[in-house]
Amino acid sequence: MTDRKTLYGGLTLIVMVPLLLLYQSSNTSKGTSPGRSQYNTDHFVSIINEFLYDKQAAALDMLCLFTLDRDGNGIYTAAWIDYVAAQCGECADVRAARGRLRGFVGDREGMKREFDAALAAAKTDEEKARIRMIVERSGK
Amino acid sequence: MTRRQKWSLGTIIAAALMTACFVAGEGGGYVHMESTAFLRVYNDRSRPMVNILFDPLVTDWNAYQARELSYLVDCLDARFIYFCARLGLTHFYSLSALLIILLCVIIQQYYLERDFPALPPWLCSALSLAFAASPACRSYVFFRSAKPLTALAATAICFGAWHLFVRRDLKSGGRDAWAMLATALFLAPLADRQGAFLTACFAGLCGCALVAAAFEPARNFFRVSEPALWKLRIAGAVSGGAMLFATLYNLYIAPAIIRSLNGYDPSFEYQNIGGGGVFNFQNGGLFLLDNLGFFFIRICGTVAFCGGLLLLIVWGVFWFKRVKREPRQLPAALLTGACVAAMLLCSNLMTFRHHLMLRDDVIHGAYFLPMAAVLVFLAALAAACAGSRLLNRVLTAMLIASLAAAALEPLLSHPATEDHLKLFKDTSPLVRKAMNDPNFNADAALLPYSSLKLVKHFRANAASER
Repeated sequence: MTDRKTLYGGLTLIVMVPLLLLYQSSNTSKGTSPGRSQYNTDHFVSIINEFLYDKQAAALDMLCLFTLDRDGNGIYTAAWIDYVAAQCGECADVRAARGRLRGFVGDREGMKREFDAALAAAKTDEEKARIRMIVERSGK
Repeated sequence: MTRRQKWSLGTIIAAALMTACFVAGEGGGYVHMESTAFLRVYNDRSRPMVNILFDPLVTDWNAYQARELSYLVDCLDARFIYFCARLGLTHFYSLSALLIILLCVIIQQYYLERDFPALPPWLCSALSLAFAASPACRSYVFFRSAKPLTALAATAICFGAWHLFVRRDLKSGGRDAWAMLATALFLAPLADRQGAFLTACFAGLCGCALVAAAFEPARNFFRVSEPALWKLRIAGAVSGGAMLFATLYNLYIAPAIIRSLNGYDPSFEYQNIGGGGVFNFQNGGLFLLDNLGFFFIRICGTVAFCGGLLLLIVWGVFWFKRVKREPRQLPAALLTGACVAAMLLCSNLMTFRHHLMLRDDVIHGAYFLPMAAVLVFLAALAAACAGSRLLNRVLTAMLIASLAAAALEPLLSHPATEDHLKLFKDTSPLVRKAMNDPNFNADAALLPYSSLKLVKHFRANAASER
């Protein structure tokens, strides 16, 4: 004999779980927060300083990972890349970061152009290898 | 005290000593690049604690994830660090992480001893010790308590539910196990998004089990008694309630509190991944298989991925053969398959959202911790169902080798990985010195910018209370 109460209870859960997950995903509100806090800014400035002053080339890569993770339309990341570019100019790593940003917003042509510029701007073999790795990872 | 209980107690003591050794080996720890800000945020005495906890702009880089329970634990950790620093004993350990890992081992040993009598005690010890020694567990440095808390919930849910459904001689109806299970189901979503996923998976599994148990032939074949069916109904109701509560909390309750305390609505951009994440098998599979291989066989890189894949195939074949020989073990096989599928889906979503976790220096870290807790349960389940001495020995040998590798890690050669925290690790002795000694010239010490801000914040606020 089929236990209808148990069956309906089970079916309710099976239907409810994905529905609740989908319902939560339906909220795409960007909120009304000011966007950046003092701490938020400090954190990214710290990473940028590693790139600018401690010559940690991977730091800009890290910055892109962090900011693109939290970016809806790329503006947040673009602002930080502009900040770095203002300090050190359009070096190979900055062009590569711009390429990643272009890829993120779906501009394939722009991404290719920036990556080509990054490879052209790379001076040492090590720098070239690093840029190539970023290009490959970004799926040019 | 029985011989088995002595083994359990010995394992807990060994895990505590081993953890103490690992902690001592880290020499005070280092301040994580993000933690420098968190330490300042949680030690900000100018705002009430509740205002800080419900301010994702400062606790989570504006990436609202409705995990305020973990922020509360983080806050206590951060204040403990400042408290120790005021005493001149600066460290950057997370007290909660240490206690939670030990609590996981206690729960594992308590229930392994009671509900897995067929398992040899040395295998149970090896499982818990390998878990405590895994790199995922050894993130003692203060960062976030979200993953350790989720691992604790995962351990409580797996072992608590198994205890309730397997034991038929429960005194007082297993009230303690019910309380543990319900608490874990309701609190896991407040600890992390992975915790919310865990509760959802448990509710889904209860739903599937209820549908199967609704049919009399299935009930008779799997010998589902009326009390067991009642337990299943209650577990379904509790997990469904927890799921509803988690949804309400995430969408309405927490945002309303944030609005009333801090005057803004949180952004849902970070937690809403979109459909693409579900099918992110390339990255999710890489994360899961790499960690599987690393957890059980302690191998790195591509070999770990292949080892994880091989392990999964062997596991699948094992369950297939078991079910063919003994069809009544189908629920255990399905449970294992469902857990692995849920872990893969979770990995797909996590790696899609946060690509950083695939970096060589991050992949074996705390992101895998809740899954490692589930793996301990699944390995015990497989060994208990097999009842094979050979399998027990092979599994124990693998776990002991993994444990030995953890102990000898500093002496072993590592694949060249770029450590994104190198600068912070290298400068942490100076940061500790600057916090311990008010006369130390921090400006001249060439500290990372955020570490310098931390030292200045500590000196300006907490150090004056010395």
